[in-house]
Order: sequence, then C-alpha cells, then structure tokens
Amino acid sequence: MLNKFKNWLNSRKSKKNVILIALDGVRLDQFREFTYFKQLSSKGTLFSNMITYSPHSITSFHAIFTGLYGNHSGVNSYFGTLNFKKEECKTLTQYLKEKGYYCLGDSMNELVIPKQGFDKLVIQEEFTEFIDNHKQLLNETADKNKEGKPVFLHLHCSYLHNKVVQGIIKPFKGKEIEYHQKPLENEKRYQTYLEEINQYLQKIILEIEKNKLWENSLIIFFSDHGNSLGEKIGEVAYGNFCYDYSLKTFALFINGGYPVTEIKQMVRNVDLTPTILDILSINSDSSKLPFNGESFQNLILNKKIEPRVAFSQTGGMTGPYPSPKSPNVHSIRTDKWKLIYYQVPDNFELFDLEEDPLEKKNLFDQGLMQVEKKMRSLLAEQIEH
Amino acid sequence: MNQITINLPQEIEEKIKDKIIKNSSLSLEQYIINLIKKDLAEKKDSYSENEEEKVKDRLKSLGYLD
Repeated sequence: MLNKFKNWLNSRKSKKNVILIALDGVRLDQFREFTYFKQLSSKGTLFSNMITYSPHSITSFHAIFTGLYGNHSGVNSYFGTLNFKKEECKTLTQYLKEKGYYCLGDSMNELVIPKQGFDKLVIQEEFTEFIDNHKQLLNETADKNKEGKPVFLHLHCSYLHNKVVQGIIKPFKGKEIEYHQKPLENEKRYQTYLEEINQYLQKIILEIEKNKLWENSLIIFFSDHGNSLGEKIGEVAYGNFCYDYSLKTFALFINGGYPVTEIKQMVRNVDLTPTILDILSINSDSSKLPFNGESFQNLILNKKIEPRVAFSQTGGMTGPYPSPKSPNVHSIRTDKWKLIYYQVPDNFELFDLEEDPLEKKNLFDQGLMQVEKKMRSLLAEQIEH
Repeated sequence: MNQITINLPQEIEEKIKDKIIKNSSLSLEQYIINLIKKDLAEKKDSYSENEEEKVKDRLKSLGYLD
C-alpha cells in the first residue's frame, strides 16, 4: 500500500508542465538570426519545416489544438468556429485537464483557440499590451506547481498580428501591386516588427528563469502561419493563398535533455497535439474523431519516420477570389512537390520545392504527368475524405 | 435501400470525371453522394444570424473586417 502511494506521489512529482508559446505570424526565415530566438534555439530541437493546415490564426490554432484538419473539425474558414464539432473533437487542453493539469492561458480573440478544457482563459483586449499578463500567468504556473499541480499554459504573443493589421493590411488594401513592387521595403518593415517579438522573448526567457520553469516543463515556441513580403500579387499578408511564405511555420521543443538540433524533414501542425500526447504517454480517445496528425517524437529521439504529406486549405478575406466562409484554395505537399488547386478560377499550380523553394515556376501542364496524377489523387483524398 | 435516378447534364459529368475523380478511386455516383452528404451535414450545423453577427464583430476587432 505504501509503495503504491509512493509511486503515485512520484508520478505526480514527475509530471511536467506543458507550456505553449505562440508567436503569431512569425516567419522563421526572417526571425532565426534574432538574438533571443538564437538563444532559445540553443536549448532544444527546432522543427524548421512545419506546415500549417491553414495560413491564418483561427483555422491554424484549431488544427493545432485538435490534431485535425479543418474539413474534419469543422473549422476550415474565418467563420469556421461557428461550425466547430466540439462534441466530436477532443482538444489538447481537454486531454491534459483529464490528466490532472490546471489549464490556463490567453488568446488574442474569442475566435482563435478552442476554449474547451481551460480553467482560465484570458481574452486580450484588442491591440493592447499583454506582456504583464503573460508574466502573471507564468507566476501563476509556478504557484500551482508549489501546490503540487502540473500546469498547461498557453501564451499568445500577438504583437505581429496587430502590427501587420495596422501597418500592412489596412494601408495596402487595394494596393496589392504597389506592395508586390517593394519587397525590400516590405522585408525591412517586417523585420522592424520582429524586433518587438525579439524583445518579448527576452522578457519571457527572464520570467521562465525567475520561476524556474525550464527544469520541470516541456516548452514549445511555435508560429501559426507566415506572412507575405510581396512575393505574389494578390496577397499583402496571409490567408488568401497556399504559398510557402505563409504555410511554413516552426516549432521549437525545449525539454531538459532534448538534443540541440534542427530537423528539416517536413512535419505538420496537426501533428503537434499527437506529439505532445506521445511525449506524455497519453493515449488518444477512440470515442472522438481520430487525429489527422501523427506523433513525430521519434525525430526528436533521432529515429526515422516516414515522409509525410501535408494538406492545407484557405479562403481569403481579401485577394482576387475572397471566400471567408469556405475554403476555395487547396494544396497538397510532400517534401519535394506541391500542388495547389484554385476552385476559382478552376486551375492548378505545381511546384518542385527542392529546385524552386520560392514557388516561382509553375510546372503544371508541363509534361510531369505522373507527378500531377499522384498529387491530384492525394489532394482528392483529402478534399473528399 | 430504394434508389432514385437523377439526370445529370453530360458536360457536368465530363467535368467531374476530368477534374475530380479522374485520378481517384471514387465512382461518379459515390462522388455525388459524398457531396450531398457533406452539404446536408453543413446545413445541419448551420448557425443563426445572431451568431454570425457576433463572429463578424470579432473579425472586425481582429482587423479583418471594416
């Protein structure tokens, strides 16, 4: 009896916090050399090629929290939270809550992350400062640990969203060509915004150290989508198209003992919840919709995993063919190939990502019939699941 | 199960075969059944105007709508 009690006590003691820190809209290719991100990268395993299900926050965060593509969870558009199948999905928060975690966090808006399972979820006032609140939530995490309770904490760093809306989306509305013609200026502006994220990281790192949370937490810094720097006409930020500048994201896993390395093999953001559950040895719930994502923990453990296929969808608020209530741009991607299908005006693009990572040369209808056939088949499977 | 027959214009049939099911294992019939099922599921999940207005307000506060 005493042994059972000791085992139970030990299992409680060894339960790590799970801390997710979302860096909204951050492009790794633009951010990786910033001081505090470099400092963080020297602490863990960086997945530098994580593909989001969808290039805007509402759909992306729901994919992360549910492990499901939006055409399964119901959240596949800007209006998608209205269709969230909350009874059929089980979120990361709900899994952790069930395992005894105290679940708290913040989000920039009511629509962005699923609320299910949170004991406390703070919604940021629009365009206001949130760093003090994040410090407070980290302090609260340490306090809960002192009470013997593990914590799931989600922090949403929304500086970039706010800056992009005020500095790009609004002023360049209807001026997409002008934006496209000034890539260097766009990059400089974006870098200025990233400096604020860098300063945010400095403060967060200090707060994590002050509360001694590195030792007893799995901490994941990640982004939900990227941002246009004017690469393609018709998009000044994100959400309209499925090009890599907005689909490519990252996740940095910091957990005592994880190798300090960068993994370039493609993974997907629907894989995040299955991976976290795998790390914590939590089984998925067979009474709920099965995950579209799969754990990639083996990559951290230096083992191989099969190459994956990433499915993405979006429907823009703006752009040439807006469709905010239903996705009308779909893409399927392997490590090498990407096929994009535009429902309107009903055409395809095919890119060789190894030879043409900036997706400048459309190879569709250029004689790559076997590749087209395979990629169309993979895409049809996802769209008509 | 009782079944009914629906006439489909030939040009639509050709377009579906060419664009959608050419490279998948779905039959034309199965493809159309799936589409209808999906549409019915979406209708079942439909939301009120009031709920949609709330979402619009939140999208405005995110800066996505004027």
